[in-house]
Amino acid sequence: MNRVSERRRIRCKVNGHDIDREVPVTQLLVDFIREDLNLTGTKRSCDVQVCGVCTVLVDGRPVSACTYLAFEADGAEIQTIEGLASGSELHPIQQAFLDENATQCGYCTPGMILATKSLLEDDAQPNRERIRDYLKGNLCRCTGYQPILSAVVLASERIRHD
Amino acid sequence: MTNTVVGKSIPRVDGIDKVTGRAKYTGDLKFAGMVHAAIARSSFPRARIDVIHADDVRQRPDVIAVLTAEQVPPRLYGTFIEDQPVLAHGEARYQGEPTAVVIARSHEDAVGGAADLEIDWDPLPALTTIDQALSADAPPVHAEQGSEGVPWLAREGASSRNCCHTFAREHGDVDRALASATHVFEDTFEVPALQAFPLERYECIALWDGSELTIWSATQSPFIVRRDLARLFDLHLHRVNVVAPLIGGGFGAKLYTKIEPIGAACAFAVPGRPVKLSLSANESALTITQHAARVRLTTGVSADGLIVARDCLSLFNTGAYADAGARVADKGGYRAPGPYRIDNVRSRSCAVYTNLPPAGAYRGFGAPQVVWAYESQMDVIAERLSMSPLELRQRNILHRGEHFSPDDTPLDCDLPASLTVVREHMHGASTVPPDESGPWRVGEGYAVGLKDGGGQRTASNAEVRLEEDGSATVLVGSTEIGQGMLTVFAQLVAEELQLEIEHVRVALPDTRRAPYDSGTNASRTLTLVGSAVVMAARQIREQLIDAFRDLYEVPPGAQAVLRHGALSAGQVTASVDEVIRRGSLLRGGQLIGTGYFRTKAADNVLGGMTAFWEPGVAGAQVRVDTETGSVQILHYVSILDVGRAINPKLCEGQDIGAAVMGMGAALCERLEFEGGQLLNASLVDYRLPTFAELPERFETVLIENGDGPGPHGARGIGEGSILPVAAALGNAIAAATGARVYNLPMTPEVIWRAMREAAAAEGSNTSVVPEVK
Repeated sequence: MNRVSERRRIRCKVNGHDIDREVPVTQLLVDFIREDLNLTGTKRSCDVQVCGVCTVLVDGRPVSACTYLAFEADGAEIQTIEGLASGSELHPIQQAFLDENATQCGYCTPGMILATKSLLEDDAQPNRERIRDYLKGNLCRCTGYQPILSAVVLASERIRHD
Repeated sequence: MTNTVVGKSIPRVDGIDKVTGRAKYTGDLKFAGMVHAAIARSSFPRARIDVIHADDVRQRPDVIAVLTAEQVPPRLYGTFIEDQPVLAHGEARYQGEPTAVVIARSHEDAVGGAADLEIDWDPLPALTTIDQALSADAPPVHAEQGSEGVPWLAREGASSRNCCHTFAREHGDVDRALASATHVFEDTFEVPALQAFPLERYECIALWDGSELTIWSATQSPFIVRRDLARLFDLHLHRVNVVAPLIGGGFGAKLYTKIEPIGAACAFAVPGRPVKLSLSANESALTITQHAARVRLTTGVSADGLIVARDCLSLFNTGAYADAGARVADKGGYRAPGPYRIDNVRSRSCAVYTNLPPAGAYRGFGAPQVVWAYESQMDVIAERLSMSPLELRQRNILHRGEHFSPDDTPLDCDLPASLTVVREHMHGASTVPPDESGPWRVGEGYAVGLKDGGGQRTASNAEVRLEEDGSATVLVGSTEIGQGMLTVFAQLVAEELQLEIEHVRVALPDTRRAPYDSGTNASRTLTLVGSAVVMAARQIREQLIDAFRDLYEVPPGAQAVLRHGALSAGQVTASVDEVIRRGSLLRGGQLIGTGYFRTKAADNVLGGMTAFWEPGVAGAQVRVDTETGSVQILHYVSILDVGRAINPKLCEGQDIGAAVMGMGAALCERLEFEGGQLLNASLVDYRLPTFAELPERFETVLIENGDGPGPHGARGIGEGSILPVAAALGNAIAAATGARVYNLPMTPEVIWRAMREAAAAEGSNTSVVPEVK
């Protein structure tokens, strides 16, 4: 048994809230979010940064929390799916996913929505090719992707026309 | 007040929870005092267990217990054949077989303990392929199995020692018809093992409180899990409660009992403490696979292109334990002749034990393997007869009312119309001629698949409760795996009772509260369980009408009806709300309606009548790069003969989801084994379809003839659309390049090699780039 027991203090913002914790240096960001902060909207699946279900935004950039150490988030601003809606009002991307039936089992949905947010902040009117390319790191086994594509287009239209 | 909600694409009722991250899956549940379990697995595909050195790990401060075969019930379990131990006993039969389990205070400590657990193995020669397992000198995977020889296997030169299960059906005189047929075609097709990879992995939490076992599990079949656990641990059914929270995808991989026996064994080891067992993605891949299969078809055809006889032999590699393999072999064998009018049919199948991980249910349940074979062969036949593939299909396809098998339900769907519609859509006005410049060649292909839907001899129950405030609760044993059960059942009840959709809530199942249901599989939920739901709601409607008659003194002769949110009889009307409010009948606080639906038993090869037929009809246009063999899907049309769409958008979602899943199986997926070791469990090496693989253009065409046996004429969907995918793509690739692929998946390399072979066969193998057309 050769376990690293070193801990480090991290201060970060998660969904706008200040967080100040000690974490083991080996702890993954996904476990910090799910277990320590109890934000279970962030999912885990492949553990090797392929499927994208653990996607969170670190300083606005999409990151696979399954292969990102928690202490590396020191000083960062983290957004998880729980931080997207304001009160009972859904974010336009969430609303578009709902309207286009872009969620079935829902397991990929939090990561897919956060990746979409990052895309639309980078490109307010992405074309089909850009969407397909940007989201290819987020797997979905249920929808066949087409409804997600429609939802991204719908969300981009709504955000631009708001 | 409301009106009709059936037929409307209302947003899914679990949608807000899912887009906000509030949706709770099994792995999201947390309980005070919860401890964690992790599994130590066999390193070898077949090996005797000499010693398990558990003491070192047992003595670790954070480890609570280590269980081996001695600490768990010795009884075997399995839905169709009881052949699987909770933990390997004496011998492991596949690499990755659970051998010991470590319970610790944290997940990390449990996983660390399991990884460090030393086991002395004595490796034995392993059987990994169907041919090895059927060879005369093969050692038996299960010593106690297969003593009696199966005559038809013996005639194939195969030993029955590793035969897990066989199936046979026959009508007419196949040998005579083949002998006198103008043309006889014999072709063999193969599919590899696959993983379904629902994004949520296997998770369960088990608690033994001294009198009751509760287990939260991502399972598609809570009642089967309950039965298996009760048998294993010698408990009455009412002392086992299986709870199925929202499920992050199933596709068959979570059907029947999987990790729950290990979870339950842990719970008994630490009474009063919830134990969480959460598998990694790699472990999930070792838990169940889709069957690798080989299908040989011998088809006799008359001079004018009518199929006169078909002889089918389907062999399924079911791995070390049967799981659903016996039933997959039944269904694959049953469906192998295809949806055609054939007077002389013989179909045999066998599930074969090997030392690979167990194979079980996967979307389509034995049908994807046989449809790949028979729909590929249809195009091979058409080509050899110089006939259009669609014309060959139209000449032979079953019409509504005809029999797929003489002693089963007649066909209830319209296959000829689907074939016509798919062609129309493939050649629609908006289709632009594709670019065939450079190395690109374009072709189109079609395929038709058919499966008996709903499962045989299944029972479904439903209970609807109308509360005194006019809201309703629906209790069913069905699970929500993403298909939309919660939404469509709410629609059905809202429709029957004229309630607002927000006032109907469908509960997720636990086996203590929900009435029995045989499982969320076989595309059966809407059609069969939904029928029970409608029946339950109608009972409440009758009770409401009776109450209305009493309260408003409707004369005995006058007819009372519930329509558009109001009850009326002649001049007397009252809203449903009013009747409920005033209703003395509700003094008890609740109206309860129950519904029960079971499919007909029958003395036929499947042991029951098919509830409905589930077709899948598709057309594909592909572009193949003849220099690299890579394939791009330009246009894909899927016909969804749904009977009646209760929620069209959810139907479309099932359709494209199944089709794209099939595209992965057709073009890139394959579990690679070397000497029984799984090489590509991880998603780094096992490629699933991504956004990049989405066809350039995808069309779902809903056909609604109201001809299904379910509510409002609905027919089950969800599996049909995966059936024709691989063959439609293979046929399109063959049309584009002249190269026919017989073994999936059709990777660029496989296509490139097939093109080279096709070119060589035509004597033009002098150029590096194959000449086509």
